[in-house]
Amino acid sequence: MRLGSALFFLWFLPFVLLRFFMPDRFKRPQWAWLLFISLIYLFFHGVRESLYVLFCTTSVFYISRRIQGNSKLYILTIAFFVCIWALAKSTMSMSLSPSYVMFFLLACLTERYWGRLKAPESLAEFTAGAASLSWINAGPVPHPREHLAMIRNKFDFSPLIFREASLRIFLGLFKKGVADSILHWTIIMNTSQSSPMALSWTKELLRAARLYCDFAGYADIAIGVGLILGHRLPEDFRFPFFATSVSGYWRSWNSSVTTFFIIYVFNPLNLRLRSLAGLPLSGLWLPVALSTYITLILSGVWHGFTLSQLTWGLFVGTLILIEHYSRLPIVLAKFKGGVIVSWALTFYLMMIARVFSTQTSFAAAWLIIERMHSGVKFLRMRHELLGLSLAILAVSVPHSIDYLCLRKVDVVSSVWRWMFVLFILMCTVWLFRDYGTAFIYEGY
Amino acid sequence: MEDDYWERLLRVIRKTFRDPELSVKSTTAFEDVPGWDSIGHLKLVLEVEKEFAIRFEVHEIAGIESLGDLYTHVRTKSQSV
Repeated sequence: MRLGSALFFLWFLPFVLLRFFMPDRFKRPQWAWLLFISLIYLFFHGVRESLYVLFCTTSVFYISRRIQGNSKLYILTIAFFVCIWALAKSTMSMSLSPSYVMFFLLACLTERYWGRLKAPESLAEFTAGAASLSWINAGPVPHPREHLAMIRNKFDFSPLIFREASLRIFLGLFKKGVADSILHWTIIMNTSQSSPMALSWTKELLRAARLYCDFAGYADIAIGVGLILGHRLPEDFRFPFFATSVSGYWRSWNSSVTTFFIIYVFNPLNLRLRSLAGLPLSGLWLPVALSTYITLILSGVWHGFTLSQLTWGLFVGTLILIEHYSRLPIVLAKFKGGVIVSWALTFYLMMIARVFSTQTSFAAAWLIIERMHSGVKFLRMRHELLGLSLAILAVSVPHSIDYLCLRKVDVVSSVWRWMFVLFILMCTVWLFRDYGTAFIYEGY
Repeated sequence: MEDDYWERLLRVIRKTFRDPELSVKSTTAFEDVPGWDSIGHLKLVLEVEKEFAIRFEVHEIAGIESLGDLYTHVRTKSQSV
């Protein structure tokens, strides 16, 4: 049973909603139902997944009670859980994403070490908070303090919230349908007789669109399901294809994980390096450069231990540093049409960066980049033009629908109208898609 | 909020983001400041530390989301020095 599957919507979600029809005395404490359904969901996935989540959650619960200010225990614990996560990710081939629960637990440990989070009092409550992430939330990583507070909050059925949640779920399902259809188009593209340059650009644009629709679709469904349960999860995608700077793009793509890396890796590392070297403010560039590279390399390597992911980290790190010190987006914004140049440059550079992050080897990534710049025989055939137009539509349409639904919905002041339009779009896409695939998120 | 702390803070912000005419309010989120990014965020905090002779903890830096948050920290820390 996966998030977004028919089984999930027809069996699991109605079961979750049963809570609202229970007598009040069965609704206390607030987290009990969440824990109950999370455990059912976990056991549905398998013993291995259940053991992973329960072992990690229980260990973090007990360790976090003594970790405040204890540097040795903190470092040892972080190293231990990173090893557990790497083992789970590389050898266990779990059907649930092992990363997002771990992100949450590592954040809990760090917040407890800093003294910013109160020691959790109840193991059951803490487990409800962490275990629920495995099903409603293998996408956006919430802040531990906010998430654990939400577990305690009283929540009841609200038609307004239900409407908002439904809109997000429809939006997510629509995007998932688009993602699966795009995968089919990409396979068709392989057989066409196009020039390497046209084919590479079309395929990379389709890949970018598919990744966006798949990831953002998951995040939308997770946010929608979270809302029904009284959890407002952080937004994970803030219109990344509209970004006019590389750092803006990095912050708006999977932004809850980016925030995790900034809060728990970049900031502490930067300050630590600065204090270790005893550098004055004028010497700030060295710790900034080192911590930027380390953060981005870790962020890249988290996707897979390959040379191409390492290159992605180095490439994006270099772009962010150049952009920061040259202030190029700000300079460009002062000229007429500068924002468009800035956007086009960001989009192009991120397309190149994406090639590194989606290929399993450096050689394969480099070959694609060479093909993307391989010559002038571009768009010489009608089907090349058609393919490229389709790819541009695949990138821009879901993003624009997102923008209209999430930003302009108040202006239109009719959520129902949008939901109806989305429902029609979703049904259309799902009717014509060839097959369904698992969410890419779940592989992480 | 138009006090000495705010005026000095504004001066530091304008200097850090190299924009002498930058117009901001206490409610301005960092995303709305041109040139703000994670590096700029840290740079601003370090410049503020220098200007006000105060020190931020790592977790405090992460918690600052708007100029109002930064102002509150500066005021509290400066008064307790």
